[in-house]
Amino acid sequence: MENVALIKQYHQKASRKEAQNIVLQYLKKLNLEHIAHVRNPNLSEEERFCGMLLRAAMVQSGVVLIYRPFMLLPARINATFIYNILKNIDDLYTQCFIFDFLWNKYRYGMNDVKEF
Amino acid sequence: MKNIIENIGSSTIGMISSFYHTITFAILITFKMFDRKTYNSATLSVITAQIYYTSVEILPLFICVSVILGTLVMGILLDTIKALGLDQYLGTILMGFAVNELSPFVTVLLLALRSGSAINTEIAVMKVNRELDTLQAFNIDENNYLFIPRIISVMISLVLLTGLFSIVLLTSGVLFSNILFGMGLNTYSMLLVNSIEFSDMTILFFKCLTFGFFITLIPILSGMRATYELTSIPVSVLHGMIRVFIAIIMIEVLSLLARFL
Repeated sequence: MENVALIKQYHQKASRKEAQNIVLQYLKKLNLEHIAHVRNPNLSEEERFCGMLLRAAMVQSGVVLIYRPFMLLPARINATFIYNILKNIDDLYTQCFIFDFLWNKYRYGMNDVKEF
Repeated sequence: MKNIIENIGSSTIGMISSFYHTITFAILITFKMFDRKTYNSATLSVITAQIYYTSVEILPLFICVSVILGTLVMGILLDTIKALGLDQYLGTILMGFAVNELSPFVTVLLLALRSGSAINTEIAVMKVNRELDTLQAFNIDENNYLFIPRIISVMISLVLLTGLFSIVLLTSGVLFSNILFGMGLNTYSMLLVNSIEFSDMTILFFKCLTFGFFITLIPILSGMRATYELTSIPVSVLHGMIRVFIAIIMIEVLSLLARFL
């Protein structure tokens, strides 16, 4: 929680308590309030992904860019988990882009993907 | 022969370059320490946490060391003073040697061993794990968030722990002055109070602050010089600790010169 709250403390001059309350509120939204005081090495792959995503989304009016999310979530077959998490915190970011290899498109359930 | 000269030249250039980087980094950090923009709620919580790790967690060990060492040193010191018939200089010797020299030196050695090495390892591990890169990605100044709080907390801790060590030394002095000189508590206190000199106390205060500044700054710099390989961590700690001990000796010599010139 401290690492995630740090972004609000630095960029929006929030007090420690205010910033931690915001983080706790989003962790509750994700049903992850139990990881608030857990260190990175003790988190599961899903919990770590959510923590990192939440930290990235803490930047005000930020554009979230996720690069090859299945590297962090190798056990997940499709992107439903990622979509659900993104939907739960959609008030935190303006746009979100996911970059992945073309051969992973079936995991995102889409066919009209662009190749870069 | 050519190789020997090249090696000497290369190590001299390395030493000068390292010294130059340390001084420029020290100047940058000093300016930032006095800049209001450096401080925010995150910085202040790191300072508080670091003061706890540096001066509160060490207290049991520190008190044990100061009681054992303090009692022994004061016993030997007062016995020597009596043997040499220097009773009239008792207060001056106690303040000059025990308080101004021994207390900061023992305290800085303990803190350098415990906190200096810990900070060096912590920064090197953060570098290897690319945590410093993550801070930069989030536009968080590592100087403000990581380095300055650690430096300030060690500086404060060093002043406080030196004070505590001096109190323990002077308290054990009460016992020995009573046994060896038959001196009462009042006489002993008056002797010490009369021997206190403002200039010496000022030098002691600034010496403690300088010790605290450099025994944190040098390990931080050394930790930052680590590469992205795990094997660079012990090398960085080794170099950092050697530089810390050289810095301690240099500051000690400079403070002695300041006192006697």
